[in-house]
Amino acid sequence: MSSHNTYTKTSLRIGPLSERDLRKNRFGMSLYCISQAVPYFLLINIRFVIAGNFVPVGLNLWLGGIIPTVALLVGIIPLFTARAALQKDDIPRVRSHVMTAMLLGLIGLLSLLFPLWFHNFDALSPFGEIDLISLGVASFYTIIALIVAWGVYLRLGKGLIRKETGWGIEATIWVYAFNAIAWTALFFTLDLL
Amino acid sequence: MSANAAGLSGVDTANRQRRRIAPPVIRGLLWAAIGFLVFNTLVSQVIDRQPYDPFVTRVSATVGWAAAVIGWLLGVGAWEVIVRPFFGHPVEWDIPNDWRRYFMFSTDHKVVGLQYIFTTTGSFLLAGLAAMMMRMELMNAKLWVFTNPGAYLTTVGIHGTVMMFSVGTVALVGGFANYFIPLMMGSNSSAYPRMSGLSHWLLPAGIATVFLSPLLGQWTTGWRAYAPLSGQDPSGIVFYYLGVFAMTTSSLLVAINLTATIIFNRAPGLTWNRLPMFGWGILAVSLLTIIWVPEIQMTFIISLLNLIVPFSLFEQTGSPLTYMESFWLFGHPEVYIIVVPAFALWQEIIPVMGQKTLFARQWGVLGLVFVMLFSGLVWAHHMFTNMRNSEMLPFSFFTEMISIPTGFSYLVVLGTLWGARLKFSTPTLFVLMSMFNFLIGGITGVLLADPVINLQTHDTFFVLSHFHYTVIGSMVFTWLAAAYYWLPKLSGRMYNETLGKLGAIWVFIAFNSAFGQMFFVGLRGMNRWVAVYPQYLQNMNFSISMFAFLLGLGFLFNFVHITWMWNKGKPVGQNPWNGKTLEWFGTPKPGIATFSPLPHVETGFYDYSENTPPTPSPPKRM
Repeated sequence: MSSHNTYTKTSLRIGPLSERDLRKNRFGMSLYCISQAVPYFLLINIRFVIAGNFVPVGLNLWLGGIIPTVALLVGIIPLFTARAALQKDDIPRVRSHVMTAMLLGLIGLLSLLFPLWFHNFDALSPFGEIDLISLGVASFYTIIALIVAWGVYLRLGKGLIRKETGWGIEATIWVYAFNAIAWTALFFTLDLL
Repeated sequence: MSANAAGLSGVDTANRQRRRIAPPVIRGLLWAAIGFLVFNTLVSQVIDRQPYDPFVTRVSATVGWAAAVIGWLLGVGAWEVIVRPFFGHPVEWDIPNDWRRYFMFSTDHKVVGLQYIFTTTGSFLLAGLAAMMMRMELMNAKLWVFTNPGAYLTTVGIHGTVMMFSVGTVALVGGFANYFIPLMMGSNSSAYPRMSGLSHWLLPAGIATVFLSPLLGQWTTGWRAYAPLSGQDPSGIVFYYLGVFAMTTSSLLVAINLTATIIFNRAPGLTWNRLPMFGWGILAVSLLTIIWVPEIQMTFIISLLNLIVPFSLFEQTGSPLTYMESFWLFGHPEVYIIVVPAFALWQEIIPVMGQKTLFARQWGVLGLVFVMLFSGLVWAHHMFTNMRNSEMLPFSFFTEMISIPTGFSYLVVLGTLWGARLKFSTPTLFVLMSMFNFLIGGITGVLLADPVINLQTHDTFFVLSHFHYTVIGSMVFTWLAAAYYWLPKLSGRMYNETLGKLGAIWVFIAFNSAFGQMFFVGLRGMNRWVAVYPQYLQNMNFSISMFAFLLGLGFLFNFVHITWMWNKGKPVGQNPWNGKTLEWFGTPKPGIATFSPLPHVETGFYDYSENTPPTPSPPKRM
């Protein structure tokens, strides 16, 4: 028997998506966002149960706060402009915008990681623990967003993402924007409210 | 020289296929072992050395486990099917059309469904073996099988965890739904086949982690993993949290995939009003999973961090009650994640076996949806011992209210049975037994919703029997009903009706004799979580254990019978039950497109009225 009969090829070729497939992918991403928003709700809930509205005096609002929030939120913009550039099939421009978003994400990640190691308040306290867990969760999702963007960046370089096959860019926007918005909500409820 | 879909030449493909002789799970095991050894050693010997220089610490085990699971997933095929293509490399993955396809990453929903069925059955047998050991211990009022109470409690925890997260949550959803939901939707694929392929391989990783947990030490918390109790044990609980994380992630991916499959992969003409009942059940349970599984995952991650950082969030600086609330917010919907697919299957199987139109179908759908909605409002009845009287009332009320939409499922089946010429086959018998068992579980559930009874029977065998009636009594019996019902579709062969009925009656009598007595032994004062108990309860416990062993043998008998008939049963036609749902009209073999061309649905699937032909014809195709 020939190998053609004894093997089934896994065919996952990148091709243009139909409107229905595009809707299906967007639906899947929205389910991802809904499900992954739940841990953030839980963290906010536990914060108020355990620590009330207390915020320690020594908390640095910039590192692990304003800087990652701004970096991540601003990082969404170049992804949208990358998608606009993709509509014109201007691949070098798309790559440079994705790279910009990645750099901003990296700044956000470093700014989240820094206070995980160096913080001016007692880590073994109700607020301290939930704050550090929140920073860890945000760092994890930021790493995920950066990996997604990195994969798209490499595929762009190999000519695998074109105007007709641009779902990768949109998927990156979903993951990146979810992380930025979820972190922003967490930061506001945790440190500012 | 021809090029395949990934742009590779035929020679490349042939070379690759020749190279791969052993199934990729072997490579997965190797990469998992290397991943654990390298990262565990790196953490315990270099980055985070502890006093006395232990080789495995809580932190190193956690990091090593993460590396092992990643190595396992990459090894079974995620490297070729997901990671390399993600970074722009071609897909180089050919699946042999033989037994090896079940031991590697697959994007075929039928293969994935069968992989889940095999894994779930294996874990059911192993966790069942743990139950047999527990029952053997409880035959005697003194400690005689286990050397210490901690070993007994660890076994209880492993049994409960594996049964809940790899059998109860998975058997009907990951197994039968992965296989049959795309077929019932008239589709050749699930919505996200790569995600589906990945989801299965997390399950054996999680099961193995939980079974290996005693290597890190005992854990006495049971499947609830209560903090701060979990912090007082040795380190076995670390593997509990990690194993459950893998298993629940598997369920989450299945839920997202099946939800999208039901919404987007329906055949032309398959409107919401015509959606099969099993489709409604899986949709309801998937939405429950998507909401509540991430909730418990975050809770367990915090508990894990409590152990490995360490924090004390549910302990000194926090509150044990916060853990309980977070756990039971998931814990009770979990029960409905287990039983809602069973309710749906009752309504799937009975109209086919009765060849009678499903009675009040819309009420059946409403019942499934409202059980889903109410399930998030009842959780605190698990915590009545920790609450003020005024706080109990709403939870008591909603717990009793949830029996109303549950009752819809019963009324729909009873209405369908009324006047039907019911074929008393093995699946019918299992469904009726399942309904009886859940009735007992449900009635005792209403009793437990009453705070007076709840407080009296808290943590006794009465509660244990109640939830085994709901989980084994309904879900496992329906699981077996589904296995017999769909066996002709899965294998092309029919089981032996006499042996099937014998197996059904065997487990029904053994189950009710064992767990029925547990209500009474609980009322007489038998507590859960104890290996040693007062002497006056020994005779009853001895009797329970005897019937429990009989039950274990009964399940084994059914599995052997199904497995034997899978290979040696009498060959049977495509549609032996005269079912009308689409799975009965497609090519059953894995690796082959089921529908070509796609079917076009023109009527509902449950109409057996007199003006329809006695033998249903395949739905009209485009």
